[in-house]
Amino acid sequence: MMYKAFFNRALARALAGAGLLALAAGASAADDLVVENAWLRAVPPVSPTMAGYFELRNKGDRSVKLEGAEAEFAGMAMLHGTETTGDGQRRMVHLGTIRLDPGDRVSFKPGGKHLMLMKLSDVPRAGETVAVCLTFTNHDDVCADFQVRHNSP
Amino acid sequence: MPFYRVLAGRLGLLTLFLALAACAEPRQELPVNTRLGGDFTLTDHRGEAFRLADQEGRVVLMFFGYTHCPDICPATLARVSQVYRNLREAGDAGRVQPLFITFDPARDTPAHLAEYLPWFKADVIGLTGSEADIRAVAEQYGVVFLKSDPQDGGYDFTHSDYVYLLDQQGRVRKLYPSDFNIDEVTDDVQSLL
Repeated sequence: MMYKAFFNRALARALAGAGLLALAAGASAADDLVVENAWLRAVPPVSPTMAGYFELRNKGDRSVKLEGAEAEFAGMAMLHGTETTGDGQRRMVHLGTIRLDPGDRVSFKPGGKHLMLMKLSDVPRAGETVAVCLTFTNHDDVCADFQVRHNSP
Repeated sequence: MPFYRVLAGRLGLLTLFLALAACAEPRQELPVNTRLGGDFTLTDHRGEAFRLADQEGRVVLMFFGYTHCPDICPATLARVSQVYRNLREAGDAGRVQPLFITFDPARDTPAHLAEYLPWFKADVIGLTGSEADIRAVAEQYGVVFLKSDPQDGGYDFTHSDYVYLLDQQGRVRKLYPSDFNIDEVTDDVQSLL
Protein backbone atom coordinates (compact mmCIF):
# COMPACT_ATOMS: atom_id res chain seq x y z
CA MET A 1 0.00 0.00 0.00
CA MET A 2 1.14 3.51 -0.66
CA TYR A 3 2.06 5.69 2.27
CA LYS A 4 1.24 8.77 0.33
CA ALA A 5 -2.13 7.49 -0.77
CA PHE A 6 -2.86 6.47 2.79
CA PHE A 7 -1.75 9.85 4.04
CA ASN A 8 -3.82 11.57 1.41
CA ARG A 9 -6.88 9.55 2.29
CA ALA A 10 -6.38 10.31 5.97
CA LEU A 11 -5.92 13.95 5.09
CA ALA A 12 -9.00 13.85 2.90
CA ARG A 13 -11.03 12.44 5.76
CA ALA A 14 -9.72 15.02 8.17
CA LEU A 15 -10.35 17.84 5.77
CA ALA A 16 -13.75 16.50 4.81
CA GLY A 17 -14.56 16.50 8.51
CA ALA A 18 -13.62 20.15 8.62
CA GLY A 19 -15.79 20.89 5.62
CA LEU A 20 -12.83 21.42 3.30
CA LEU A 21 -13.48 18.59 0.86
CA ALA A 22 -12.91 20.78 -2.17
CA LEU A 23 -9.33 21.47 -1.09
CA ALA A 24 -8.70 17.82 -0.27
CA ALA A 25 -9.76 16.73 -3.75
CA GLY A 26 -6.86 18.73 -5.16
CA ALA A 27 -4.43 17.20 -2.66
CA SER A 28 -5.17 13.52 -3.29
CA ALA A 29 -3.13 13.54 -6.47
CA ALA A 30 -1.31 10.22 -5.82
CA ASP A 31 -4.48 8.19 -6.28
CA ASP A 32 -3.95 8.53 -10.02
CA LEU A 33 -0.68 6.60 -9.92
CA VAL A 34 -0.70 3.01 -8.80
CA VAL A 35 2.40 1.03 -7.84
CA GLU A 36 2.08 -2.75 -7.85
CA ASN A 37 4.33 -5.80 -7.41
CA ALA A 38 7.02 -3.69 -5.80
CA TRP A 39 10.02 -5.64 -4.57
CA LEU A 40 13.76 -5.43 -4.01
CA ARG A 41 16.10 -8.28 -4.79
CA ALA A 42 17.63 -9.64 -1.60
CA VAL A 43 21.41 -9.33 -1.70
CA PRO A 44 24.25 -10.01 0.75
CA PRO A 45 24.54 -7.49 3.63
CA VAL A 46 27.88 -6.28 2.23
CA SER A 47 26.34 -5.60 -1.16
CA PRO A 48 27.01 -2.10 -2.43
CA THR A 49 23.85 -1.91 -4.53
CA MET A 50 20.32 -3.26 -4.73
CA ALA A 51 17.83 -3.46 -7.54
CA GLY A 52 14.14 -2.62 -7.23
CA TYR A 53 11.26 -3.70 -9.43
CA PHE A 54 7.64 -2.60 -9.73
CA GLU A 55 4.80 -1.81 -12.07
CA LEU A 56 3.50 1.70 -12.32
CA ARG A 57 0.14 2.58 -13.82
CA ASN A 58 -1.14 5.98 -14.66
CA LYS A 59 -4.85 5.91 -13.91
CA GLY A 60 -5.09 9.67 -14.00
CA ASP A 61 -5.99 11.95 -16.83
CA ARG A 62 -2.69 13.69 -17.40
CA SER A 63 0.79 12.62 -18.41
CA VAL A 64 3.46 12.19 -15.76
CA LYS A 65 7.20 11.84 -16.03
CA LEU A 66 8.98 9.42 -13.72
CA GLU A 67 12.49 10.68 -13.08
CA GLY A 68 13.95 8.77 -10.18
CA ALA A 69 13.51 7.34 -6.71
CA GLU A 70 14.45 7.98 -3.13
CA ALA A 71 14.81 5.70 -0.16
CA GLU A 72 16.02 6.38 3.35
CA PHE A 73 18.59 3.59 3.26
CA ALA A 74 20.05 4.56 -0.13
CA GLY A 75 22.25 7.59 -0.67
CA MET A 76 21.46 7.49 -4.32
CA ALA A 77 18.89 5.92 -6.61
CA MET A 78 18.62 5.86 -10.37
CA LEU A 79 16.45 4.43 -13.07
CA HIS A 80 18.49 1.92 -15.01
CA GLY A 81 17.87 -0.34 -17.92
CA THR A 82 19.66 -3.55 -18.79
CA GLU A 83 19.96 -3.60 -22.55
CA THR A 84 20.89 -6.63 -24.58
CA THR A 85 22.95 -5.74 -27.61
CA GLY A 86 22.90 -7.63 -30.91
CA ASP A 87 25.79 -9.90 -29.93
CA GLY A 88 24.30 -10.85 -26.57
CA GLN A 89 26.18 -8.33 -24.46
CA ARG A 90 24.32 -6.90 -21.48
CA ARG A 91 24.72 -3.25 -20.83
CA MET A 92 23.42 -0.99 -18.09
CA VAL A 93 22.08 2.30 -19.24
CA HIS A 94 20.83 5.26 -17.28
CA LEU A 95 17.28 6.03 -18.18
CA GLY A 96 16.15 9.60 -18.42
CA THR A 97 12.60 10.43 -17.53
CA ILE A 98 9.92 7.91 -18.42
CA ARG A 99 6.71 9.42 -19.64
CA LEU A 100 3.42 7.77 -18.80
CA ASP A 101 0.37 9.05 -20.59
CA PRO A 102 -3.07 8.42 -19.10
CA GLY A 103 -3.68 4.66 -19.15
CA ASP A 104 0.00 3.81 -19.62
CA ARG A 105 1.83 1.21 -17.56
CA VAL A 106 5.54 0.64 -17.17
CA SER A 107 7.15 -2.52 -15.80
CA PHE A 108 10.48 -2.58 -14.04
CA LYS A 109 11.54 -6.22 -13.97
CA PRO A 110 14.68 -8.39 -13.79
CA GLY A 111 16.80 -8.17 -16.90
CA GLY A 112 15.08 -4.97 -17.98
CA LYS A 113 14.36 -1.65 -16.37
CA HIS A 114 15.25 -1.54 -12.70
CA LEU A 115 15.72 0.87 -9.86
CA MET A 116 19.37 0.96 -8.95
CA LEU A 117 19.81 1.81 -5.28
CA MET A 118 23.33 2.81 -4.32
CA LYS A 119 25.36 4.08 -1.38
CA LEU A 120 23.36 1.88 0.93
CA SER A 121 23.53 2.81 4.61
CA ASP A 122 21.70 -0.38 5.38
CA VAL A 123 20.89 -3.44 3.32
CA PRO A 124 17.35 -4.57 4.11
CA ARG A 125 17.01 -8.32 4.45
CA ALA A 126 14.74 -10.82 2.75
CA GLY A 127 11.33 -10.71 4.37
CA GLU A 128 11.55 -7.04 5.30
CA THR A 129 9.44 -4.35 3.72
CA VAL A 130 10.87 -0.93 3.05
CA ALA A 131 9.50 2.31 1.65
CA VAL A 132 10.83 3.57 -1.65
CA CYS A 133 9.44 6.77 -3.16
CA LEU A 134 9.22 7.28 -6.89
CA THR A 135 9.86 10.85 -7.94
CA PHE A 136 8.39 12.72 -10.88
CA THR A 137 9.12 15.94 -12.67
CA ASN A 138 5.48 16.99 -12.62
CA HIS A 139 3.83 15.03 -9.84
CA ASP A 140 4.22 14.52 -6.10
CA ASP A 141 6.37 11.59 -4.97
CA VAL A 142 4.61 8.26 -4.85
CA CYS A 143 5.87 6.06 -2.04
CA ALA A 144 5.27 2.34 -1.92
CA ASP A 145 6.20 -0.61 0.24
CA PHE A 146 8.84 -2.73 -1.45
CA GLN A 147 9.15 -6.29 -0.22
CA VAL A 148 12.68 -7.67 -0.04
CA ARG A 149 12.66 -11.12 -1.64
CA HIS A 150 14.80 -13.68 -3.42
CA ASN A 151 12.56 -14.03 -6.46
CA SER A 152 9.87 -12.20 -8.37
CA PRO A 153 6.51 -12.21 -6.61
CA MET B 1 5.03 -75.95 -26.24
CA PRO B 2 5.08 -75.59 -30.00
CA PHE B 3 8.06 -73.70 -31.35
CA TYR B 4 5.98 -70.95 -32.95
CA ARG B 5 4.36 -70.10 -29.63
CA VAL B 6 7.74 -69.79 -27.93
CA LEU B 7 8.86 -67.56 -30.77
CA ALA B 8 5.71 -65.46 -30.51
CA GLY B 9 6.27 -65.13 -26.78
CA ARG B 10 9.88 -64.05 -27.26
CA LEU B 11 8.91 -61.62 -29.99
CA GLY B 12 6.28 -60.25 -27.67
CA LEU B 13 8.87 -59.73 -24.95
CA LEU B 14 11.27 -58.17 -27.43
CA THR B 15 8.55 -55.78 -28.58
CA LEU B 16 7.86 -54.91 -24.97
CA PHE B 17 11.54 -54.21 -24.33
CA LEU B 18 11.79 -52.04 -27.42
CA ALA B 19 8.67 -50.14 -26.40
CA LEU B 20 10.07 -49.57 -22.89
CA ALA B 21 13.41 -48.49 -24.30
CA ALA B 22 11.64 -45.98 -26.52
CA CYS B 23 9.77 -44.57 -23.53
CA ALA B 24 12.91 -44.16 -21.44
CA GLU B 25 14.81 -42.61 -24.32
CA PRO B 26 18.46 -42.51 -23.28
CA ARG B 27 19.73 -39.03 -22.54
CA GLN B 28 21.70 -37.44 -25.34
CA GLU B 29 25.27 -36.94 -24.18
CA LEU B 30 26.24 -33.29 -24.02
CA PRO B 31 28.72 -32.48 -26.79
CA VAL B 32 32.17 -31.17 -25.91
CA ASN B 33 32.63 -27.56 -26.95
CA THR B 34 36.12 -27.48 -28.45
CA ARG B 35 36.11 -23.80 -29.34
CA LEU B 36 35.91 -22.45 -25.80
CA GLY B 37 37.59 -23.06 -22.50
CA GLY B 38 40.91 -24.12 -21.10
CA ASP B 39 42.85 -24.14 -17.87
CA PHE B 40 43.66 -20.93 -16.01
CA THR B 41 44.97 -19.70 -12.70
CA LEU B 42 43.42 -16.81 -10.73
CA THR B 43 43.23 -15.83 -7.05
CA ASP B 44 40.37 -17.14 -4.95
CA HIS B 45 38.43 -15.30 -2.24
CA ARG B 46 40.81 -16.63 0.40
CA GLY B 47 43.66 -14.97 -1.43
CA GLU B 48 45.10 -18.26 -2.60
CA ALA B 49 46.03 -19.34 -6.11
CA PHE B 50 43.24 -21.21 -7.79
CA ARG B 51 43.88 -23.43 -10.78
CA LEU B 52 40.94 -24.79 -12.73
CA ALA B 53 42.76 -28.06 -13.43
CA ASP B 54 42.73 -28.75 -9.67
CA GLN B 55 38.95 -29.15 -9.93
CA GLU B 56 39.42 -32.33 -11.94
CA GLY B 57 36.81 -34.85 -10.88
CA ARG B 58 34.26 -32.13 -10.21
CA VAL B 59 31.62 -30.67 -12.47
CA VAL B 60 32.00 -26.88 -12.51
CA LEU B 61 29.35 -24.21 -13.01
CA MET B 62 31.23 -21.05 -13.89
CA PHE B 63 30.13 -17.54 -14.67
CA PHE B 64 31.41 -13.98 -14.77
CA GLY B 65 30.01 -10.88 -13.10
CA TYR B 66 30.75 -8.25 -10.47
CA THR B 67 29.27 -7.51 -7.08
CA HIS B 68 28.32 -3.90 -7.85
CA CYS B 69 25.89 -5.18 -10.47
CA PRO B 70 22.45 -5.16 -8.87
CA ASP B 71 20.21 -6.74 -11.48
CA ILE B 72 21.51 -9.74 -13.39
CA CYS B 73 24.59 -10.80 -11.39
CA PRO B 74 22.93 -11.45 -8.01
CA ALA B 75 20.03 -13.13 -9.80
CA THR B 76 22.44 -15.44 -11.64
CA LEU B 77 24.35 -16.14 -8.44
CA ALA B 78 21.09 -16.98 -6.71
CA ARG B 79 20.06 -19.36 -9.51
CA VAL B 80 23.41 -21.13 -9.65
CA SER B 81 23.28 -21.40 -5.86
CA GLN B 82 19.85 -23.00 -6.10
CA VAL B 83 21.21 -25.60 -8.52
CA TYR B 84 24.04 -26.30 -6.09
CA ARG B 85 21.67 -26.64 -3.15
CA ASN B 86 19.48 -29.04 -5.16
CA LEU B 87 22.56 -31.13 -5.89
CA ARG B 88 23.68 -30.95 -2.27
CA GLU B 89 20.30 -32.31 -1.21
CA ALA B 90 20.80 -35.13 -3.69
CA GLY B 91 24.16 -35.87 -2.04
CA ASP B 92 26.25 -34.60 -4.95
CA ALA B 93 27.70 -31.44 -3.38
CA GLY B 94 31.25 -32.78 -3.12
CA ARG B 95 31.41 -33.36 -6.86
CA VAL B 96 30.14 -29.95 -8.03
CA GLN B 97 31.80 -26.55 -7.73
CA PRO B 98 30.27 -23.13 -8.55
CA LEU B 99 32.83 -20.48 -9.61
CA PHE B 100 32.20 -16.74 -9.81
CA ILE B 101 34.81 -14.74 -11.73
CA THR B 102 34.72 -10.98 -11.28
CA PHE B 103 35.33 -8.45 -14.03
CA ASP B 104 36.02 -5.88 -11.36
CA PRO B 105 39.20 -6.72 -9.41
CA ALA B 106 39.55 -3.13 -8.15
CA ARG B 107 36.38 -3.39 -6.07
CA ASP B 108 35.97 -7.17 -5.86
CA THR B 109 39.03 -7.96 -3.80
CA PRO B 110 39.42 -11.42 -2.25
CA ALA B 111 38.32 -9.91 1.08
CA HIS B 112 35.14 -8.43 -0.42
CA LEU B 113 34.29 -11.63 -2.27
CA ALA B 114 34.86 -13.57 0.97
CA GLU B 115 32.23 -11.41 2.65
CA TYR B 116 29.81 -11.32 -0.26
CA LEU B 117 29.61 -14.92 -1.48
CA PRO B 118 28.85 -17.01 1.66
CA TRP B 119 25.40 -15.39 1.84
CA PHE B 120 24.35 -17.52 -1.13
CA LYS B 121 25.02 -20.68 0.91
CA ALA B 122 26.43 -22.55 -2.05
CA ASP B 123 30.18 -22.81 -1.36
CA VAL B 124 30.79 -20.55 -4.34
CA ILE B 125 34.47 -19.88 -4.99
CA GLY B 126 35.05 -16.25 -5.96
CA LEU B 127 37.90 -15.58 -8.34
CA THR B 128 39.76 -12.37 -9.00
CA GLY B 129 43.18 -11.37 -10.29
CA SER B 130 44.91 -8.74 -12.33
CA GLU B 131 42.84 -7.11 -15.05
CA ALA B 132 45.08 -8.74 -17.64
CA ASP B 133 44.65 -12.21 -16.13
CA ILE B 134 40.88 -11.86 -15.92
CA ARG B 135 40.71 -10.61 -19.48
CA ALA B 136 42.76 -13.60 -20.64
CA VAL B 137 40.37 -16.03 -18.96
CA ALA B 138 37.38 -14.16 -20.38
CA GLU B 139 38.87 -14.47 -23.85
CA GLN B 140 39.36 -18.22 -23.42
CA TYR B 141 35.66 -18.52 -22.72
CA GLY B 142 34.51 -16.06 -25.37
CA VAL B 143 33.39 -13.49 -22.79
CA VAL B 144 33.61 -9.84 -23.74
CA PHE B 145 33.46 -7.12 -21.12
CA LEU B 146 33.84 -3.40 -21.28
CA LYS B 147 34.12 -1.00 -18.35
CA SER B 148 31.94 2.09 -18.59
CA ASP B 149 33.25 5.59 -18.00
CA PRO B 150 32.96 6.46 -14.32
CA GLN B 151 29.77 8.32 -13.57
CA ASP B 152 28.72 9.65 -10.17
CA GLY B 153 31.74 7.90 -8.74
CA GLY B 154 30.64 4.49 -10.02
CA TYR B 155 31.12 2.42 -13.11
CA ASP B 156 29.48 -0.60 -14.69
CA PHE B 157 30.41 -3.28 -17.14
CA THR B 158 28.89 -4.24 -20.41
CA HIS B 159 29.32 -7.96 -20.56
CA SER B 160 28.04 -11.26 -21.84
CA ASP B 161 26.47 -13.27 -19.07
CA TYR B 162 26.56 -16.95 -19.98
CA VAL B 163 26.86 -19.67 -17.40
CA TYR B 164 29.31 -22.43 -18.35
CA LEU B 165 28.95 -26.08 -17.54
CA LEU B 166 32.37 -27.78 -17.37
CA ASP B 167 32.72 -31.53 -17.04
CA GLN B 168 35.02 -33.40 -14.68
CA GLN B 169 37.92 -32.84 -17.10
CA GLY B 170 37.29 -29.11 -17.27
CA ARG B 171 35.86 -29.21 -20.79
CA VAL B 172 32.98 -26.88 -21.73
CA ARG B 173 29.87 -28.99 -22.27
CA LYS B 174 27.10 -26.41 -22.36
CA LEU B 175 26.38 -22.69 -22.11
CA TYR B 176 23.24 -21.28 -20.53
CA PRO B 177 21.68 -17.84 -20.60
CA SER B 178 21.67 -16.14 -17.18
CA ASP B 179 17.94 -16.83 -16.75
CA PHE B 180 18.45 -20.58 -17.28
CA ASN B 181 16.02 -23.20 -16.11
CA ILE B 182 17.18 -24.51 -12.72
CA ASP B 183 15.94 -28.07 -13.28
CA GLU B 184 17.59 -28.29 -16.70
CA VAL B 185 20.98 -27.30 -15.29
CA THR B 186 20.57 -29.61 -12.30
CA ASP B 187 19.82 -32.50 -14.67
CA ASP B 188 22.73 -31.61 -16.95
CA VAL B 189 25.16 -31.54 -14.03
CA GLN B 190 23.93 -34.93 -12.86
CA SER B 191 24.38 -36.37 -16.35
CA LEU B 192 28.10 -35.53 -16.04
CA LEU B 193 28.61 -37.04 -12.58
